[in-house]
Amino acid sequence: MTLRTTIPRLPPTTFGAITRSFETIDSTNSTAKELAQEGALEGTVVTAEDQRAGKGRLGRSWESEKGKNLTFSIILRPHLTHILLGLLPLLAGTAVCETLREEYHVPSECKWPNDVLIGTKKISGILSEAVHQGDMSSAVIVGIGINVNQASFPVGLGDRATSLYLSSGREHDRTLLLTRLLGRMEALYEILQSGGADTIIARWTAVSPIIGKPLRVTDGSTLHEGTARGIAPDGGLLLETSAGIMTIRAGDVTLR
Amino acid sequence: MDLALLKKLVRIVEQSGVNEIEVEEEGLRVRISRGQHGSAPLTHDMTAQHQAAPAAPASSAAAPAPPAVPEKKYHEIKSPIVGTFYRAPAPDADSYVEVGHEVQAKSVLCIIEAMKLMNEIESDVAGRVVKILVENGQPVEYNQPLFLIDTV
Repeated sequence: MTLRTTIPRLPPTTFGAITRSFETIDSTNSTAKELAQEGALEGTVVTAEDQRAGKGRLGRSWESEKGKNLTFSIILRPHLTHILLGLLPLLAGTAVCETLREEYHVPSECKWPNDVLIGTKKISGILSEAVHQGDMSSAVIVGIGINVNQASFPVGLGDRATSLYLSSGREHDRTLLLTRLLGRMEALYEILQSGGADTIIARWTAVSPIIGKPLRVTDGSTLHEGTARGIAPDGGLLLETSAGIMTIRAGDVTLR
Repeated sequence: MDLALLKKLVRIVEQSGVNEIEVEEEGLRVRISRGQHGSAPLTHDMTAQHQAAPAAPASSAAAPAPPAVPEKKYHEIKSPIVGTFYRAPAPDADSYVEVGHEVQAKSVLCIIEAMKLMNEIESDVAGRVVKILVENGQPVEYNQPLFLIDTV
């Protein structure tokens, strides 16, 4: 049997072409990870109206009012060296920030590596997970939470959190926001996969105010103070301290 | 050491209730230990260690080649990325593995965080965790050994 000269084209990967929507689940990241292990295609999106155990960094939780916001995860199967995998969180933060700025005209900014803030208040948080065996990474799950139509936050969170509703003065169609965001993310992802790491770093830097600013980075019991000098090729934060330039790859960043 | 002796040793482990027995005779060391679930004992670690020849570096952990030192060559799990090493999924959670644990290929051993990307590192072999080489919360470099696994 000869190879046919015309091969039916595989459907193009489209972020969100396959979407699994849940009313309530533990965490969209956990479900996306399970689906990825079962072979789910790149671009598969898992959404939830409510998470019982929404995840943040180091076991922290992500709190969101049911039915008001966007909480979703997307499955990626990147063809990237391990060094470039670290740019995926920055890419996701850039996509959120650019979407909020350009489509909703709110003055959002990225905080390293991928929180999105309006002023000092957080509007979006991103937690990504990857599974590695030997030199292989099988999938990367990017989990994104955006406060959209939430009008008030619990005591203790209110001074640190905001929403698109609070910053624009009106409610917004969450599906439209998700569609716009996925389109932008996919475009950035294509750029990264085709050798455009520098473009991703430049786009992130354009929406982040931290370069040149004095920063404090805490990670567990360690504290570093210095001035942000740029982004390393793997997405790390270059911090100029009294001891020289170091690369930060984990920790909480605050302006001094 | 002949086969009859080996069988005898296996029987001793089976009948005595001890978990592990190790015998060294004429430079050949044999360790016999029980499987994890109380099943039949498994033979394990047949490292010939006579003549300390200035051998080429042993390349494979399981190969019965005579190593230059009387140390078994364990399988190394190395870090695929630069980041911060965590032994548990959250600060108040149990560690993924402890020394002595049996792991399977695909068992998660640790997380390495970089840029808020939590990288779960899976074992690529089945075996027993012999040593954990990095402290929780410490930075790790690319290709830095993290775990030693005694492959069955």
